[in-house]
Amino acid sequence: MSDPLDELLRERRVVICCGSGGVGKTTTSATLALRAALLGRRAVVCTIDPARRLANSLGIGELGNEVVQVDPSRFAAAGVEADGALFALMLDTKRTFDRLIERYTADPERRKAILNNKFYQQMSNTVVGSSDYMAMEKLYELSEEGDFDLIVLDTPPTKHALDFLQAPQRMKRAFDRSTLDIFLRPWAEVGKRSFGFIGRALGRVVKKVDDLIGMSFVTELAEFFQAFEGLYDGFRTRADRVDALLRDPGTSFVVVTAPQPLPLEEAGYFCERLREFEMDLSAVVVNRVEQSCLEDPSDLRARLDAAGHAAELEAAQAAAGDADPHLDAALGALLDQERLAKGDRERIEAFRAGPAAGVYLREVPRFTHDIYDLSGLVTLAGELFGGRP
Amino acid sequence: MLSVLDRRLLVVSGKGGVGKTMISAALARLAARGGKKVLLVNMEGQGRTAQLFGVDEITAEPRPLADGVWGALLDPKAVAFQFILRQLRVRRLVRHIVESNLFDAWFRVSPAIKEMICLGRVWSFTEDKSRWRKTPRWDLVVFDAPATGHGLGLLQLPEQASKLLLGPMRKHAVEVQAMLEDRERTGTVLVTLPEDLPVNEALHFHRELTGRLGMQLDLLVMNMAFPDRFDGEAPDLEQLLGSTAGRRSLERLLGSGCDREAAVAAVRASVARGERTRRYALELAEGTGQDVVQVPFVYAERFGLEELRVVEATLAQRLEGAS
Repeated sequence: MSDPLDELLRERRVVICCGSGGVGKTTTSATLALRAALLGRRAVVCTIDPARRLANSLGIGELGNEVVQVDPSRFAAAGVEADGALFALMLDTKRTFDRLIERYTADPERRKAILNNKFYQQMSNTVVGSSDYMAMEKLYELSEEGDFDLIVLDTPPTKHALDFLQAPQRMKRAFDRSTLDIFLRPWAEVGKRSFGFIGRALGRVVKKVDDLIGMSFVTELAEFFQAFEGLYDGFRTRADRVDALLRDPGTSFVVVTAPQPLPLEEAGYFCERLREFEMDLSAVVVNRVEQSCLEDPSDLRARLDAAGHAAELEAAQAAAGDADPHLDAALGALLDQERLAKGDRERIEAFRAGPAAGVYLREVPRFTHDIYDLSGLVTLAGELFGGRP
Repeated sequence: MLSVLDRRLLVVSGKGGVGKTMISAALARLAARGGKKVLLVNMEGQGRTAQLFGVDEITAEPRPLADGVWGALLDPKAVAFQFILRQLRVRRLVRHIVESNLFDAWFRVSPAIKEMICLGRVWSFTEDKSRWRKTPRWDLVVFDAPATGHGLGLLQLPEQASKLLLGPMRKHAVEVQAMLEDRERTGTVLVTLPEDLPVNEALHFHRELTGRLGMQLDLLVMNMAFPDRFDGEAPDLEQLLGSTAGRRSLERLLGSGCDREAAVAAVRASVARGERTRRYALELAEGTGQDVVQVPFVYAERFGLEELRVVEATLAQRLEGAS
């Protein structure tokens, strides 16, 4: 039987990696794309915020928002041969947003008005909030262009998984015309025209809110939305299409996590949400798993539970006969390692039986060195896919 | 030097997963041990704070967690509601605004505003007075700041917001900024880990904080520091574990099925992690010109009061040593 992850990389067109920050999500995404390239596909990895050294080694260190081919000579240097090709891209939220505006605004005056608007600049620059949607947007763009067999998307480290999956819908809601009509038009036009009773009442609200936030902000906000007139439909249609792409049979999700309680908790939440949204959760990758040096660690586990760590360590040290501080230290290090491995094992088992039930789960051991170049990715691939690529 | 615990407010920053909640809790307990009344404020991760202190939950209303330590939870929406209500005074109107789709969208896309209102609320805790006397209700407020994953996070928001806003919101932003910049009153704490990405981010944080924002970093904590097992001189592990005494104790510890090669590799990996910890600590100290307070890795399956005490004791020792 072939490796389920390999199957995924051969058959799908889009693989989306999600999980909390600091669990090796970017590295895992890059490794999946690398593996796909080794399997003969034309693969691109779209990363959000790669570590500088990884970005440099992929050749995207300086280039934001541009697809760059990873130099095939780097493969040879890392000791592998690729039948396909690997491309990489570092997402630039603001530029993606700007391009979206340019696409939907034919009138150069209006385009300028939007791009120079303070509110727009704030919104498109803030990493939180719009990066979720822009990652989706970039994915859609790449998918429409059709230059690649496989797109691997590394998602922003959103705290709330829901935000990311609902990004298209949320974007749509933010541009909902009725909301805008009620809350924005009168604000901007107060004092210019007289309204009926409702208009006057709203006018007072607006005046209050203005006092609160400051007129220039409200004006900027109103200008922003007014400049968006006519763009709403385009935006909303696009949000619908992005949503459809997320549910496409060619799209699948991989949840990346680490065996600590917090990342597992967030990963569990993610699995739940993906099921709820009926999106295809294909695999879970657990990175940095501490290893036991025992063939069968269950015996030690049982003894640790019964006698406790200090007692076990003392007994082992006593068994040596003569006191040797180096030996004591080595035994201490071993026991601590076994404790870490034990904790990881128990949490992963609980996760496998709980949130990840029925999903292919792959464990990757903790490496002694940080991974930041192509040979590092090749090493990781060796662990991720059962055999050497 | 003014001790970091003698401020009125401590803002504890750091990426998610670095142990910010643990360090915040330990600092709060430490200050309380010195006789202070401390309020520990969470915006998220309140479940972990509750677990650390062994209580059921953290609520919006401050409640006692331990001797001298109270805990409170900030709900951004509730805080925003109160803030707007104070300005507009008409409850129904405010509810209408706060519940609208647009406000929701705006509240989400402009994190500066939401988190700044919360930062202002945190500061207002330091101005709470006890009911009968006119003395402050809290001697110290420890704010376990939300993980932003990026750069300066919360600390730069008032500066950003004061550029964009006008009116009372701007006034609010300016006040919050002044409060953050007042070293007598506010201390900044950064928590990081001995790993590549967190260390680089800590260096970046320090550069931006002391450069662009003109603030100071008061305490730099490297959490989960791996111990130096052999005091810098690792012995020949093959020989050590292969000796009669070594074999005997290995068998006692790991049973007869123990693979000696694997055991040697495991000890080696542990030594390597210790070395990396020291290398990163040095890099941080050189890059920031500050003391790096190392908090040792805690080997526990679940973090509770016992682990919290260990971290607190270490911090006490290191802070004493530094001053």
